[in-house]
Amino acid sequence: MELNIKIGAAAGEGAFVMGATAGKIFTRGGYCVFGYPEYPSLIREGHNSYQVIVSDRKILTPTMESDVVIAVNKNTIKFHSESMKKGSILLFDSELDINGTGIREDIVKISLPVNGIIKEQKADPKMKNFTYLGALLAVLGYPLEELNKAIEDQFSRKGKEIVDANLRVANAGYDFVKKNYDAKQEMKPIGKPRPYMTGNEAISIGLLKGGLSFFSAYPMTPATGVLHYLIKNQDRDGVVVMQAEDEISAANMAIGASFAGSRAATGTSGGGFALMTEAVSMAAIAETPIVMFLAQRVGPSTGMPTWTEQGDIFQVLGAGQGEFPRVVLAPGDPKEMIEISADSLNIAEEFQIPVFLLSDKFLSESYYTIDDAEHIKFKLNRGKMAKGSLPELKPGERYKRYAITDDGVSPRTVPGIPNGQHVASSYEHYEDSFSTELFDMRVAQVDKRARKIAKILERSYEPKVYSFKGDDAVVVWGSQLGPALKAAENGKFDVIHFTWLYPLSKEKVMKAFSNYKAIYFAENNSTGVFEKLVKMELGIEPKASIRKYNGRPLLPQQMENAVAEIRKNGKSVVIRNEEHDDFEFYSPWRY
Amino acid sequence: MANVEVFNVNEKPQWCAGCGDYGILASLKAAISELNINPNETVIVSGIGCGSKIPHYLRSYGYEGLHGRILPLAEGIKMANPKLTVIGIGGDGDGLSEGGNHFLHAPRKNVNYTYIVQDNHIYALTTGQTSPTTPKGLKNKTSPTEELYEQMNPLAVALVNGTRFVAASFAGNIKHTAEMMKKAISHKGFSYLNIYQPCVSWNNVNTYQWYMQRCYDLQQAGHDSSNFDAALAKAMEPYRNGFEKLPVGIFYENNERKPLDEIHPTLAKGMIPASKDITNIDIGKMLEEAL
Ligand SMILES: Cc1ncc(C[n+]2csc(CCOP(=O)(O)OP(=O)(O)O)c2C)c(N)n1
Ligand SMILES: [Mg+2]
Repeated sequence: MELNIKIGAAAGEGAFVMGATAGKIFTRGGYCVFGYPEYPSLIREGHNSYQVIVSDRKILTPTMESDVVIAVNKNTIKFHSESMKKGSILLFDSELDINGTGIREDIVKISLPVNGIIKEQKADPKMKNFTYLGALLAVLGYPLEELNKAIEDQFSRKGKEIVDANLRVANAGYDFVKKNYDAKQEMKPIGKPRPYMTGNEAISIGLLKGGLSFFSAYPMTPATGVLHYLIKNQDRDGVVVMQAEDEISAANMAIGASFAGSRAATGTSGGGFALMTEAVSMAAIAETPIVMFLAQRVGPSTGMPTWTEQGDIFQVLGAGQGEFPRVVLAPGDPKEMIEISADSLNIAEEFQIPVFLLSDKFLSESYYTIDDAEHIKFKLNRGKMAKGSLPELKPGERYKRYAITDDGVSPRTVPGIPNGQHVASSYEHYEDSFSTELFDMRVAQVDKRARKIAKILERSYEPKVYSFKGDDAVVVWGSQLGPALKAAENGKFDVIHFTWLYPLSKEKVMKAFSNYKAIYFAENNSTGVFEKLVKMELGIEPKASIRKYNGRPLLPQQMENAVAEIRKNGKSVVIRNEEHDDFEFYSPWRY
Repeated sequence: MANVEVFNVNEKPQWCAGCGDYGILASLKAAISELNINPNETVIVSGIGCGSKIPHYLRSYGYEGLHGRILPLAEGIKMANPKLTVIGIGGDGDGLSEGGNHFLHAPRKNVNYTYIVQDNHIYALTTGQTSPTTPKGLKNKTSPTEELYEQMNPLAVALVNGTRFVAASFAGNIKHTAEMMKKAISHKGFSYLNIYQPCVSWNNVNTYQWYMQRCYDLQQAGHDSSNFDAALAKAMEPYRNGFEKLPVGIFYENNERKPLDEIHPTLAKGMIPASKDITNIDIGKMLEEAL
């Protein structure tokens, strides 16, 4: 069973509230839900939509065709009716003139007197969201109590009057459909409630699981959700969260906090990350562990701020002057978002290096169902952090913070530990941290830092293979896992998913790749940045590639079609246009 | 009591003979030891510049970070462990030019640490270019002829942005500088000390002599350091009288506002990031909230 509900409205007119509430109702009923919001970079005007995909199995992707469309405005009908399934349902405001919208004959149209209901119930016009949701549940034959419960949870703090008014308009919407429409569907809750949250929230929870105790950031879409989440309960969760005056400050603050002994991270998107790069290099030479969360969006520069792209791998790899080891991670599903975010803090401390945690607008702002919370694994490892007391320093001596070691990682102390005095330094240094420009020590310190790489490769995650009994496989990284898995079900190809992007172990990659007749890379960018990296590092090239860079994720149907095309003629595919929704319609500049 | 010797290191500073930084180092060691602060619990945070080499010359913890980024680095350290004594120190180019934005915002945040600017009115380490506080008459490599730029007034900037401890001293007066450092470090909240520092290699205007002829002690002159308007007038004074007289001492001191590390909701509950027990974090409640 799978149901695609699409809600469309002008920005600020409730599409997200409705979508998020609907998602919550169905995940509480034991379903898996994927929520996918799209919006332009505007607070008002512009068009917003929210897809709610409800399934009785794991679902990590939007799909293309809808079963129900809720149209709060006329644009919704214009933009989204083409992608409605045959005989599907349009629920719309009865005051909308649907002439000229191109709405097809086969679609069942339910004209909902939303404003009438609001007036009749003496309610606030903002409450009409719940009239639509009441009507939706009636259409689906889903118990209304589930919506009532959601309303009570959401508004009980605002008093009984508000709760009651919302309940009345919800019930009126429900009753209207029950009375005027012969609902054939019968949908029931199927299991225990499951957590429903954005990718950014899952990543935040992951960081907390990993022991995060300091976070600093400057707001930037689509990374801001992490700042919002962490600050909300900072005094419950034992985290100090700081909104810095700029990203340079955010990065340096987090590095300072890490030096002082806390597990620290910062987060931003590409533009803000550009400002952090000098700090990356400092963390590298001073060997201060740091996690930097980077939620990619459409570039170059301000690009399309609220749309998705996977274009920043080389920004991360090239960040910071000089040569030094670093790790780049990119989770793709909710369990990975929690586990890998947690583990990123381990990796940073085990190797005393900068670790980059990549997501993108699609992963960060989509809503996921956590259906495997009980399997989340994490084991704390603080690496060579000093414990207990240190041997007494002789007068005038400093602690050998940068001791030359076999594995390249030196024992670490933090301020407050007696006999650990040293200077973390952005200069090259002796073992005891005093600055030096002597050739021998320079080479010894470069080699020391570089020796970490062998252990890092051992520690690296294997690319994960999802088998659909294919003899060819599509390679994806990070956020594109969900669409790929869905595409593979019908397309009968295997999916190889990378969550560890750098550095790459040839052995581990070959282990995944060698089983296939052909490999294709599918990426949400125009030049195949990960494909390039794999070729550069390992000399491996795919047979063909699938790319999309119009600001939206690869959709399953598109990926499936692209693979079919490649199988036919061996040529790479660029997905240029959506088959249904026209991206132009969202454009704030073209209204 | 921590005596000065515990701060000694084996290495000798490598500043030019006669550099004001020698005096500043002596003052800093005296101030910390006289305040009886444990070297293990002291972090000297610097940037990049001649003066920023100072953390290497006294044996506490230190971070010699990036040019211009002393303040956020110091704030991160202090907010992660408020038990530490954190002192940021660096040049005028570092703090007032490259790090200008942080200097504007530090008083808003009001984290409890001290920021000392070694103000030699020049970029010394990079061999003599114009700094934000370079006086108009000082010819240098990037102002060879024209007097193009006005001189910044860091004390006034600190004051109008809400810094609640603002002081100045002359590096040639080690005792007074140490006294000012002690006061600044003891202040609860962001405190700012501007140290006038001769640079014998690149600044032939603001010499020891120049300062000795002009500096006068605000406290001896009866300045009321609790009066903001009087403080601002004193900060403006040399800019109005062509630097005929240069006030040093405490311009302004106000203890009414608690520092961020006391009022921040997490720290106010006594949860210190650096000593958080992270062995087994339970995320059950967070998942439950998302039901
Ligand atoms: C990002 C960056 N830009 C420029 C430099 C080069 N640089 C090093 S020190 C310095 C200026 C030093 O002047 P100041 O901060 O006043 O310190 P002083 O040497 O006078 O003590 C500059 C421009 C640098 N290290 N980093
Ligand atoms: Mg200077």
